[in-house]
Amino acid sequence: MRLDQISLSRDDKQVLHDINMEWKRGETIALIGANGAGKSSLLKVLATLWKPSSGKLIYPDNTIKQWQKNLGVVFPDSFLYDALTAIENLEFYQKLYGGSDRKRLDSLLQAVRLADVATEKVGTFSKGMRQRLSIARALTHYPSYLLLDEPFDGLDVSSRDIVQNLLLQLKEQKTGYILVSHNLDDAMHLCERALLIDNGEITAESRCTQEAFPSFVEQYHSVLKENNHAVY
Amino acid sequence: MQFIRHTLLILTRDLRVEFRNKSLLLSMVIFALLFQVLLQISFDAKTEAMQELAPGVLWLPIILAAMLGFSKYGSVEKENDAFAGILISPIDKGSLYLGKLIGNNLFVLIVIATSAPTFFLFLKQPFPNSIGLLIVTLLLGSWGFVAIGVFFSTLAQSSSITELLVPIMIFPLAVPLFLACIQLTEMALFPSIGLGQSIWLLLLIAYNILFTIIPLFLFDLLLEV
Ligand SMILES: Nc1ncnc2c1ncn2[C@@H]1O[C@H](COP(=O)(O)OP(=O)(O)OP(=O)(O)O)[C@@H](O)[C@H]1O
Ligand SMILES: [Mg+2]
Repeated sequence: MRLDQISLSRDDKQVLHDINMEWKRGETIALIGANGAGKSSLLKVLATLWKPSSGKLIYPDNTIKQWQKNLGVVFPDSFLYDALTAIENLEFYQKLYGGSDRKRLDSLLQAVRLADVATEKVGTFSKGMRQRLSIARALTHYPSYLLLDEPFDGLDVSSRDIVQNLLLQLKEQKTGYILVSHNLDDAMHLCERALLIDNGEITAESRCTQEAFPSFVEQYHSVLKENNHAVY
Repeated sequence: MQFIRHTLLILTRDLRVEFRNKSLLLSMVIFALLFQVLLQISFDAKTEAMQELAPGVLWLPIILAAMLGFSKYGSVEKENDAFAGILISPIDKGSLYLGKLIGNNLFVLIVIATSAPTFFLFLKQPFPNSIGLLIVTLLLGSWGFVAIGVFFSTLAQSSSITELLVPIMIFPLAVPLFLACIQLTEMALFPSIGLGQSIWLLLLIAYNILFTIIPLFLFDLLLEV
């Protein structure tokens, strides 16, 4: 997947400027940036939800449908139906992607520790339960690319561990993901590469290794400081 | 095949959600019945005047109940931004349109099945002159109206058009449909020379085909980024 000079405007406001990036199959990338930097917007472009105002997306198999088929998405909104049960939600999304494999759904529910509430309506779920189900929902069709927008949001410590281990497992199986997180430790441990996004531009890039990462962290902090100066 | 499977998937999702909540269909039916009684009371129907008014008294409650349906029917997709989940999936978005069209139409047919008998039984209307024509008109008319309704309300959901504008967009486009429905209904209800019956019927059929086929192909383009 390649982004070539992508810009995006929403309501006359330029949200993304000339983004160039490459996302190889199986690669795990952390997307770091201050609030309002454009992280979620970039993911929405990648998810084909928003059309960039200029620039080109070059899909791995050249067709948008094939890209959509290979993509799983966890956004702050869960995409779940409150009136349906957990298992019905998963079934719906699996069929939407052309599959029907009940075993897969059961094992996903196991993986996110929701097996015993499988037949309860999502409307009764807590925020963390929805978040975990949303992650399972994104995985029903074995996507090879994943977009994760703050997947740890609302999770307690043990749920965090579950999801972190799930991600490490995916990484091992060569499922690539882009992880948006405000937690730099997560970025470091779960990803191979980190991108810093500031005001809609990618301003820094680093490998997530013990040697390279600290200077990236420093850059991130200086961006945050600048933003604070702008505010006060 | 895929297309039909996805159409059915959307349809069963909507019906399942509706039968859990049981709010929309019931309110559509009750609304149509009450509205019809209201119309009847306000016109204090005398038989001669009724010949002019009857098609309107029959259709207006159905049309407005259908409008109620457009705004609420897709609302399951609003919670948790589930509509975005559909948009980013690889399905042909035409199946989304067709699935919603069939489901919405099913609801409107149920409204018709309750309010049309009321029209004849309780409002003491004479038995229609041609029941066959009446049924055909009701079926085609409701399908056509629901087709444009679903088309615009779903588009509105995915763009910045607010839902309040949907009726304003639907009504002008529905004028030919209304004209044909009212004319044909009058011919069906009362003995008449039946002049122009086939032309109106043709218009109605053409309208239905147009507004079923065009969105079917257009949807994937319009909803795709
Ligand atoms: N629908 C929209 N209409 C107008 N502007 C928008 C819209 N969505 C986002 N923006 C603007 O785009 C900019 C980037 O927003 P975005 O949600 O991508 O930030 P973010 O990096 O995800 O922030 P956060 O860390 O708070 O989630 C913000 O300045 C926001 O005001
Ligand atoms: Mg965000």
